[in-house]
Amino acid sequence: MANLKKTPGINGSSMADISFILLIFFLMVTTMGTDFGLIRQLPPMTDQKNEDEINKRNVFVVSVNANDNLLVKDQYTQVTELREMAKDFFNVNNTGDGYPEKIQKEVPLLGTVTVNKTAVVSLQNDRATSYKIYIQVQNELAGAIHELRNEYSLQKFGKEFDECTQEEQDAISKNVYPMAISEAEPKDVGGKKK
Amino acid sequence: MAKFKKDVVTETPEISTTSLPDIIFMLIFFFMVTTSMRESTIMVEQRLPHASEVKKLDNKSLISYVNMGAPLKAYQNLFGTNTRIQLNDKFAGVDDIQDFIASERAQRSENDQKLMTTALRVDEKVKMGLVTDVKQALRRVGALKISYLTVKGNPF
Repeated sequence: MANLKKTPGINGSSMADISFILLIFFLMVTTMGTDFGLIRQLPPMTDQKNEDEINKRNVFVVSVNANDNLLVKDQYTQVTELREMAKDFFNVNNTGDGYPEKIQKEVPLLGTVTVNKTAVVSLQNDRATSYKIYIQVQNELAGAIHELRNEYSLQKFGKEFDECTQEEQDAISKNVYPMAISEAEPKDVGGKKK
Repeated sequence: MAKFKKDVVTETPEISTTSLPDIIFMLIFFFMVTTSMRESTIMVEQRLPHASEVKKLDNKSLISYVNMGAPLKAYQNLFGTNTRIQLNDKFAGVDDIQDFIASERAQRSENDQKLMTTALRVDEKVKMGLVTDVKQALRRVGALKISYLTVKGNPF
């Protein structure tokens, strides 16, 4: 008589439980996704105060007070209007008294173009200004510059700024529309209510 | 003579669960690949502001995080409700940033040190005074590349 005993199957039902425990472990200890952020370069610390006289008409002054109110070029403004105002100010095609000084400049890939001589944003906030409004302002300013660069590259190269090659992007971003945001030391009008 | 088969019990066959672990394992692998380890528990409130002009932060190993916000409920009786800075797993003051950056630098190779970014993960209710103090501290130690972490979305 042949010994036809079947080896009993191994019960694998607990395997699922074990893998569930592992899964839950990974769900707990890991974080999903990537971080998004506004990338900025801080100016290096210098001892002497760098106070180059910049002609007033070249400066786009944005001030935010302790109550998160916006003052742009001596006018009360809403954050939502800031982008259009910044675009209008920095646009190299706008000439006149209210706009920054223009010069002709030889730029590789673009030829001789009209650019702003200097055009900077001066951002001033209070110590009690909230971070939320600060980011909104930074975002709108960055958005304005980005839209201007986009329009410019569409006009010159026929494609969006993000699709241009590195050299084309540099030609625009370093010469025509640089991002120059200068941040002043915050004032302390709102008091130390932290 | 026909035999009557009596006890024909028609049992429903057992559902085979052998593929269940495989499915879960697939999920685990998915999570292992797409996520990264949480390096520290966040002890401050963090509701990041929204912004649309954002860039993705690549290369997580080159980022040092500075968290700011009011302490979470569990820590409030110890640390109060004022805005605090959290570095690694500890609450810290503005003066500690210098040491923090120094120790973060020491962990990276010389080539990577230039590429290091300090990510400010700041709650939207924080006042700019503290943020500016931190920025000044970063300037003093020469950590000039910063990033304001935000949530991608409409800022209004």
